[in-house]
Amino acid sequence: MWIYEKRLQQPVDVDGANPKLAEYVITQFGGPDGELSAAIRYLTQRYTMPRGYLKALLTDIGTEELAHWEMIASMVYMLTDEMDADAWKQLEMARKYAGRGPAIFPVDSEGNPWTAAYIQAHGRDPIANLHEDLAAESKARATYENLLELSDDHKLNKSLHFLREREVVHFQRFGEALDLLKDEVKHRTTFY
Amino acid sequence: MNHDWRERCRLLADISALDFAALELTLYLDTHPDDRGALRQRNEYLQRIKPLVRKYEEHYGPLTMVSKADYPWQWIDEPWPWELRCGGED
Amino acid sequence: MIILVTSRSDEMSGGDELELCCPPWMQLARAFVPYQPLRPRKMDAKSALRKGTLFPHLYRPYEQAFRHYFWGRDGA
Repeated sequence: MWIYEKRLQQPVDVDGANPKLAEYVITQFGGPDGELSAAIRYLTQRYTMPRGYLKALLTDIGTEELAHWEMIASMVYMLTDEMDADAWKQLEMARKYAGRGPAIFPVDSEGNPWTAAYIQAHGRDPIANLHEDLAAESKARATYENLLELSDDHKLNKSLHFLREREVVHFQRFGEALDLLKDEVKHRTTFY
Repeated sequence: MNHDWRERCRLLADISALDFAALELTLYLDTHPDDRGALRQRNEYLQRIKPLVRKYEEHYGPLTMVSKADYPWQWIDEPWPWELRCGGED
Repeated sequence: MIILVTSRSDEMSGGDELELCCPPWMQLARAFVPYQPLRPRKMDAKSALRKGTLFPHLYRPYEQAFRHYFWGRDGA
C-alpha cells in the first residue's frame, strides 16, 4: 500500500526554460535506464524473492524510485514551463508539441514509449534478479553522467548529481543483499 | 506569492533533510538489521520531523492524503510539488 | 594413445584450486560487492540531502575524468 507525500524528496529548480534539455532529461522519466524502469522492476521482482530483507529492500528502493520519477517529471515541467505554441514553433521539436502538447509522457529521448521489455524479473533466481538490479543502477548512474555532460543548467545539475549519487548507494545495497544471500548458501555445491 | 514560498521552502528543506537521513538509515538497516545504533538514529530523526510536519501542515495544508485537513478540503490546494520552485539545493 | 583420466570430484566441490584464488569471502564466477561495515560514519542531515547520501564512505561525486580515461577529451 502506498502513501504519497505532497513534496519532492529533494527540491527541484532550473535556471530557465530549456526544452532541448527537457528532451534529454525525459529519458530518465520513460527510458530504459530511468526511474520508472527502476521502480517497476524492483516493485515487481519483490513478489517472488525469498527472505524478508530482500522483499524490504526491493520495496523501499522501488518506492524511492517513484519519488525520483516525480523529480524528473518536475524537471521536465520546469524546463518547459510557460512555453506556448509560438515558443514551440521556433523549435525543431514542435513535432513533439503537435502530438501531445507539452504533456510529460513516459518516453525516452527519441520518443520511444516506455515498455516492460526494459525490465526483468526471475521468479526462482534471486541472484539473477540482483545482478539485473546492479546493472540497472550502473546504467542509471551512467545516464545521469551523460545528462551532466549535456547540461549547463546550474540548478538542474544539483538534482542530477543527487540522483546520480542515489544510484551509487542503491548499487551498494543490492551488492550487500547479494553478499548476504551468498553467505546463506555457501555450503551448497550447486552453482548459481 | 513568492515571498511566502521562501518560508515554505525553508520548512520543506528541513523536513526533507531529516526524512532523507531516516530513509538512508532505513535502506542501510534492510541489509544491516542488527545495527542497534542506526535503528535508534533512524527513530530519532523520525521523531524530530513530527513538530516540523505539524507546523508545515498548519500553514500549508496536509502533506499526505491521511493528514488532518481543514475546511474547505485543503488537500486539493496548489501549488503541487512540481510547481513549487524552491531554488534547488545549495 | 594415452588417455588421461582425472578425478572430477575436485571440480564439483570447489576443492583446493578455488581456495588458492580468492580470499575466503570471494569465489570465482560470482559478483562481489563489499558489505558496508557496521556503525559507519554519518554526516549531518542537511549535507546528506545535498550530497545524496548520509555516509561519507559512499559519497562518490562525478568526475568527468573517468570516461575520458578511455576515450580522451575532444575526440582524442
